Amino acid sequence: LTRCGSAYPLPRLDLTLTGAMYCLLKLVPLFLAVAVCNGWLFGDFVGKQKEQDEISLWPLPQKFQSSAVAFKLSPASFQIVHAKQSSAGPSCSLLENAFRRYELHSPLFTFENIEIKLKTFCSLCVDELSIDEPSAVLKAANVWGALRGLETFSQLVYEDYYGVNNINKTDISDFPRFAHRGILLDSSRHFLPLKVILANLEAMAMNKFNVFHWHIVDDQSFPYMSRTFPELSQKGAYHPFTHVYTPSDVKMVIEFARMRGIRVIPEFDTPGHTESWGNGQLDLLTPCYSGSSPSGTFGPVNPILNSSYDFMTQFFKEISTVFPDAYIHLGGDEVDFRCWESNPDIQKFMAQQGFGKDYSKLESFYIQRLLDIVAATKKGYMVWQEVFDNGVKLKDDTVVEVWMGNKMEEELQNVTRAGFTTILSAPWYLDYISYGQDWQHYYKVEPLSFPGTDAQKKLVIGGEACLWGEYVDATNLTPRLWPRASAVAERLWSDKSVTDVGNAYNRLVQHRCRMVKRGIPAEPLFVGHCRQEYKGL
Amino acid sequence: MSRSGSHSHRVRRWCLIAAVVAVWVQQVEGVWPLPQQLHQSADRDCLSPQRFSFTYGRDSAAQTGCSVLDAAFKRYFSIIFPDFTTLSENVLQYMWSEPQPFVVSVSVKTRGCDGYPDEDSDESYMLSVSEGQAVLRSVSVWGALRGLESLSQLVYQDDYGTYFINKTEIVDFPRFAFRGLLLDTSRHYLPLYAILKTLDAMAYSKLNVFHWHIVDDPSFPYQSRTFPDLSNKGAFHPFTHIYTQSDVIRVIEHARMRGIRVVPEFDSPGHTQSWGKGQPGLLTPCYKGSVPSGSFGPVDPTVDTTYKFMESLLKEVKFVFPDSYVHLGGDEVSFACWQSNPNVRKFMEKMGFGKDFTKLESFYMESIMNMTAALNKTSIVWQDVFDYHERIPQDTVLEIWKGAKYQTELSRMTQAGHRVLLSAPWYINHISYGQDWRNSYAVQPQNFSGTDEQKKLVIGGEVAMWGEYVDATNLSPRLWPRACAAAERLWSNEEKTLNADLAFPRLKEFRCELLRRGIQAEPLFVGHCRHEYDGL
Repeated sequence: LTRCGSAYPLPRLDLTLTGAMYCLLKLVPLFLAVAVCNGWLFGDFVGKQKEQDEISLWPLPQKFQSSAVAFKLSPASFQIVHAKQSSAGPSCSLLENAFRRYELHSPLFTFENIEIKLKTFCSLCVDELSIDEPSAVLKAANVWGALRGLETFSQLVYEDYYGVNNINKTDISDFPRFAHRGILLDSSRHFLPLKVILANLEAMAMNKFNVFHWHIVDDQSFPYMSRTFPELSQKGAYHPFTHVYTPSDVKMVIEFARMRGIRVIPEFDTPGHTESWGNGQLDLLTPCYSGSSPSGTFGPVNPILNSSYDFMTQFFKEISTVFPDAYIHLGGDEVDFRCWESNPDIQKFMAQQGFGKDYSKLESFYIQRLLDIVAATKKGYMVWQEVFDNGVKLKDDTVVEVWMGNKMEEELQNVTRAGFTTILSAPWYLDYISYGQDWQHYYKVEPLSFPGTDAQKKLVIGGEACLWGEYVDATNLTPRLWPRASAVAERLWSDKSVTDVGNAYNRLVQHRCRMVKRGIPAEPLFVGHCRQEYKGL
Repeated sequence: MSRSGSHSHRVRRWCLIAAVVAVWVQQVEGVWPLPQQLHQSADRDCLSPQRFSFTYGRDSAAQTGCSVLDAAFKRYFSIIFPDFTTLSENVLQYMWSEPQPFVVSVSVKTRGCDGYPDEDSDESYMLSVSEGQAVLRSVSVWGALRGLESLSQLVYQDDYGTYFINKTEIVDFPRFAFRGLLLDTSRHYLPLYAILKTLDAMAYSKLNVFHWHIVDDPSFPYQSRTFPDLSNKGAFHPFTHIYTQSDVIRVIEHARMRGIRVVPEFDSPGHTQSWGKGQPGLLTPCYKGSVPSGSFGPVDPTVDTTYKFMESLLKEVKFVFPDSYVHLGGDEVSFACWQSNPNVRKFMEKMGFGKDFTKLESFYMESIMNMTAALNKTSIVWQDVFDYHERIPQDTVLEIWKGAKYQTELSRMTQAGHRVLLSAPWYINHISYGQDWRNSYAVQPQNFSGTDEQKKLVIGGEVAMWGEYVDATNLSPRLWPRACAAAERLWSNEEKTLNADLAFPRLKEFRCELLRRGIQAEPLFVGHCRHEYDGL
């Protein structure tokens, strides 16, 4: 119970499997007024087979057994309760909230109905879900597992021809294949209103994603409102009031995510990708030179000034308190060296340090100091692959994110051979759109296909679907992300053997209709229709 | 300044102060699509929603009671002043002690307020914005609508929320008479609101033909009064996924109010799988060896019942859709099923077609086109019909959809004296990463080898949004602002609009304006709009 009161989802699942802490949920379907509603009466109804098809779990559970025996659910008498032997009870508001959500989910769920009331805290998961007359029992090691189980439960419910909710006798035992199943959203190239972020967290939960990688700032804008350095957003955001995330916005995102068992990992990418930082923090960026005089433009963070490191120390101290997750993403990608090259002070510094003309050494110099700064805040860090490629000395628990499409397997091999944990996003850059069913490409990726030992493979802790924001904002984000990201979700959750594209297609078609029904404008996979079409606008 | 009274001086001064305080980079906003002639000066007038009005000019043939323009005045008032209803009048009075009036006077030469726009509609207009007034002159109400749209795009707000309009002279007319957009409501059903929203955005972009690809293989959502079983059995759902007669009327009227024609497409003999469900005997039974396989192919062109059915259907279409054009499809007919069917083979023999099934297709299309002609309708057909069969009624309009070598096709068709529509380069359902609007923008519809006479036969073009991967969840952001590129190509002077880099900032502005008007238009590139989209 005390654990339920204060926890965030943790990065590594196995860390949280402590003792007998589990929630037991009882699902008590009561029958409609007449006994006719009892499932067995319809047991061999002609339409039965059709209804069976409508059960479409996504992502597919590890073990799943279902019989044709159906039970009717009545919204009036449907309840989700804590089991007596559960270590969580009515004071576990995380579960109470989830009960309410899924209560709505199962029969009639619309996005507008979600109440965002978030107060207390709860903590992964091996689930067992068994539905047997007249109740369903969900066992999980902790609340996070219970959340996954509830989502699965909601997906088991289907409407028969009379519009009545049914659920079949089912046994499921489930757990994720990978611990890190992330979505990256970019709120710098275009500002994403809070509503859009929350809706996508909701969709993530429907797909059992558990990490929101928030690429919150970049060259184009700095919407994160910092308490320590308010000028960063005042001068670096597209607009200082309408296009910012206030501290309470950020809190809301974190809490909304936590309620759904989703970690929020913010990315503050440096030393490149920082143009917008310079607007509100003078002298942070390197002045570029044209010949012997400053050109008026700026490059990456200036790595030769102590003030840069002082700034980073204070800034990341704030970040480490604002974001509860154990990890911060530090970026470190795509540093353009031309500006550094042009600057005489930097040249001098390079000579002093004996870096010669190798600017990647200067980059490493910067990153090294930054990592020490962040390590001092007791946070772990994630970095883009270049940081590893450039030979920066990394702490053992650093997570290296592989994003470059070429030589992806080689990179995975190298990173894991060096003993680092890694996540894969290279094959899942969803901002690259093309005509047709590209979800199949994402689906067919096998993250562990690189040559390496078992120990190396274990170091791949997951992956991320990235929706970079050059061409994406509130108008097109949601249909562009869903259901394409769902393909990644199943790859990261389900067993390695789940690779049948045809089977996946049938389930995914229905899963996308389910998302639409729940208010998420997930785009179609191909020709066809949903019983309930999107009613947006 | 010809105005008298001391108040006006005060207001004028206030205006100037506002102008000085306002950021100087405040650009005079562009108009999309670019008018044929546009002259603007830096002089500008403040607009007060309180004192802004539309009026009919004294010499105007249309006066109050003209449905199209009355409704347009109402619409454009809210478009020009979107926050009007949220501001309290008292506050305004306090701020604007005595604002100057601004009157938009609209004069049209011919009335025609109750008619429908058609192929001969004159959409030209002249707009003159000067101190305290704008004068809009056009031949028809449809031209007046285009002028009102341009006017609405001339108004902008400074950082304080004050509305301004610069002194402007516009002489404008479309380059092509037919500027279409195709929506496909068969592969996915599009709810009515999605169609109506699209019509709104079309009007903002001065597109004037809604090509309604209403039925196809996957579903038959059109509820026919003559053959109700077509949608009862052929729609995805007989009640939720159909267009009733009143839905269709609503679409046509919504379009009419915006000067948009509705051209329905009833594509046959191919693309008709869904027809077969509600009309037994219509489709060709395919054979496997000597027995029917249970599957069906294109419309059966060998039986009389087919032609009777088509005639009744087309009669209904004539009755329901007022436009003088109807699209008959005729594309992508697969011959495999016809080949398999012994009756069809017998018929081929009888007709002396040999093994050439294109002749059978032509036979069918010719009958349908003649039927259409007898109903006083102009047929549009896809290029396949021309490719297979050069002897088609002269007034048939041909639509080019095949991507490769469309210039050659343009030459051939116009040489044969046919009017042509170009849509091949504007299949914008084909998405790709990046700014693909630039490809649409670079199209030069009259850049093919041919005489001036031939070039004139290109009556316009169409943006096509086929529905394989599109429904209400993603239609709007996929259409807009990508369709705007073709809209400008079809309206504006090509020489003035060939540079996509020059167009970029104007289109970016226009996209933000679409957002402000509630159209879910996706971004062109990194950046932001003052009013971001507020939905999901």
